Amino acid sequence: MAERSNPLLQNSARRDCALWAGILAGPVAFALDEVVSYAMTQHSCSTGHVIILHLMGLFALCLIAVGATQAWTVFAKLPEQADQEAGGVLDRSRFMAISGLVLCVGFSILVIAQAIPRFLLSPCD
Amino acid sequence: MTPDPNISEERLTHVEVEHATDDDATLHQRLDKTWSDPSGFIGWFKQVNHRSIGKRYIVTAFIFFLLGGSLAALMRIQLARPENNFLGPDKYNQIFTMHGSTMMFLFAVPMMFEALSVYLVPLMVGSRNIAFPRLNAYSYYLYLCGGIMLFVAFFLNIGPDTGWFSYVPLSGPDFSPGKRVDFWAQMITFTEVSALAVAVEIIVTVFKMRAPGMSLNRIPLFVWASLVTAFMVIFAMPSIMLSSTMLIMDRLVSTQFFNPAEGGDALLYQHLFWFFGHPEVYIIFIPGLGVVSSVIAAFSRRHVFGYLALVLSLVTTAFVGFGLWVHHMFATGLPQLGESFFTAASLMIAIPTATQIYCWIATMWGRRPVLMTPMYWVLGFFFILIMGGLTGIMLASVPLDLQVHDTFFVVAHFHYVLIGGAVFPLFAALYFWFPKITGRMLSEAAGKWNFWLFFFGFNMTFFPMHILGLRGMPRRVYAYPPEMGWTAMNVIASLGAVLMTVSVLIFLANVFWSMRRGAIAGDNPWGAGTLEWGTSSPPPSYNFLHIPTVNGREALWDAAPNQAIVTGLRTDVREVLVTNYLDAAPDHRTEFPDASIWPFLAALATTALFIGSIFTPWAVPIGAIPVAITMTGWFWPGKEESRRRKATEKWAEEEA
Ligand code: HEM
Repeated sequence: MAERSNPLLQNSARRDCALWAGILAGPVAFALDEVVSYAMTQHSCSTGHVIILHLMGLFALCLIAVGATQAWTVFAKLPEQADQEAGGVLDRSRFMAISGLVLCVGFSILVIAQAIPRFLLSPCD
Repeated sequence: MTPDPNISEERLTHVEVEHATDDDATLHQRLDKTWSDPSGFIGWFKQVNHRSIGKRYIVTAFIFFLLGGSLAALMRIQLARPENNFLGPDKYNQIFTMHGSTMMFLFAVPMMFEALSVYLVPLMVGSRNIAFPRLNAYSYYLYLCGGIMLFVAFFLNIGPDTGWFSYVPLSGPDFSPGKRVDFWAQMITFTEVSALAVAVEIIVTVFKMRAPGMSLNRIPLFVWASLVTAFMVIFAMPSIMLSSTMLIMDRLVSTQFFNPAEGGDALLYQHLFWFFGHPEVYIIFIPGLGVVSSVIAAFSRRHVFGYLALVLSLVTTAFVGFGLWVHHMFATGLPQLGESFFTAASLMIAIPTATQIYCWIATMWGRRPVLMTPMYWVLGFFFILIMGGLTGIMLASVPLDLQVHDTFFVVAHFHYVLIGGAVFPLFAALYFWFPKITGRMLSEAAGKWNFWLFFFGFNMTFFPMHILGLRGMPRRVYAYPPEMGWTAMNVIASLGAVLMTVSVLIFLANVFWSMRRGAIAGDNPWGAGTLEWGTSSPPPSYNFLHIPTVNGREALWDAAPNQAIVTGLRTDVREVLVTNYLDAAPDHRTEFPDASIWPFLAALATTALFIGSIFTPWAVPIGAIPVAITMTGWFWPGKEESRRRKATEKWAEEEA
């Protein structure tokens, strides 16, 4: 199969790293954004640098985009026959790639939801 | 036979060695001899197989549920009348603290996570025992000793009295002199060490001991739930151990972690507590989701709809569950913008839960699920959990939260979530897996009485508490004046508690009766699809005569007509197959330790250290000596084991 000879799919360490990046990017970005922004709120109030909070949200979204790209790269190269339910390496990779993509979408919605109040409230409220 | 293409033939051959020709009876004898744990009084303390320890966890946690329930009954008697003198304020403080702490730390987490996972996960992944079996036994004894310590303190009138979260400054040295809070804090240490140990065992069992063919995308949903919970335990528990240890140190050796007057920070305690405390709710709840998925699949006779969505919901809930803790602190005057991040996350976490509910409904859609007792509990769970979830969404909004903070509205909400999320799935699990554990069926008729009385009793007890909360009744008050207008709702709540008590008594009678006279279950009474149903009920000492291989998500339903088995594992020692973590391809064989008294002795030594350190810091260095001795005994290899290891090493050198 042409796809099987694809270097990304053949190199199991690279493939699995890309798949894990897709799965973990969303949760890690969300956690970083929430904790750092929460800790920076007081600082933003005292210095007036609200932009830091916006940048943090943007950074989180970029991180998620990187993870999603990794997951997509593997997903796009998987053969069409790869079946999420079957027990082969490529089948399992498909399962992980889709998981990564869905998690990236889900967590980006969460990061956006957390970004909205930054436009509506002042850090000193 | 269609062998699973994913099992490397080469590796299987490597495992397939000398005993492949044994017939089943001889194999049974050999395996039984090797895997049976000693019996008798002393033998009981030496047992390390996951089924014995799992059963002990189930029974012990259930006893704590009964004790916690009895304390709740005392509270309901007290609150049934205004200005009641049945319990004084001091006793009431101790009782609600003991009730909350027992239910959360000694019942809900040990039952939903440790007990069910320890018993079921090795069977579901097709393994002969749990990883680190001695650690497993140690974890159980530690948990037991922690629970006994707490109740002994309570009966000696030195039970904790500062609420299940023991906030500072109330629990600090100035406002709570004496040893009451220290017993609470040390109980935390006991239960958390034991939960952490089990979490490590479960993660290793799931990642390294799955039957060949059970790749990541075929793991049963209950096992996924246990795995996710185990990771949550590993990230959440250190936070509470840290805060309770800092609290003990503030109290015992005058550190000032939480004393603002000396540069400490009282809010730090709340942050540390809730960073654990909120995920704790999910630690209790996620295994229940795994139970629900298993029961629905079995009774709908089909694969669960949306496996991927269900797995991702579990994973998302676990991650987001760590991002909500500040919503327990909305009333502490934190910046509004900071709070809003947690409000957003608190609202969003409803999405994965809703997704799961849709998947379960879709699984049942058009299939007319068989309505037997486990399904009743699952349907009850839907109703109760949705109610609790709705009030949770209400509480996630800061203005409403401030209004009803510390009222009975909150008590109603968390009982809907905890009892809906843990107790209903627990009963579903007990009815579902009782036949596997004991070999006999529970009575269906008694099961239905058990369910309906509990369902009505529960709603009668806790629904009126919403109204009480909205009418301003604070929680943790031992008496209230008659003119407040709270009496009628409190009477209804107390009558509901009577119904729940009767229901639990029916369950106990059902268990004792069925253990002796229940219908014989057979291997797979429900026709379910996961691996635990592929062995006898109760399972033999070695779990599976042949380690199975897996051809689909429901291993038994999807098995090929002549599904491959793993052969060639040694039968004269406790040898198990280790597989790789993503694809469950056979990797190597390893030997598990035999039964041993050392984990029990190590747990006793650890108990002495923990209890001693309530009274003097010297207990830590001095108590470490017996702990070190017993742990050395634990890891010291026996003569036979040394001989075998040396032989293997020699062989490896020669090969090299
Ligand atoms: C079985 C029936 C139960 C009844 C009748 C009951 C009753 C009560 C009552 C009346 C209170 C409030 C006391 C007050 O604030 O004055 C309370 C508190 C509490 N309950 Fe329950 N409960 C039951 C089961 C459970 C379960 C299964 C759990 C956990 C899994 C649980 C966890 C708690 C917690 C954490 C508190 C808070 C304790 C505190 O304020 O420190 N309860 N319960």
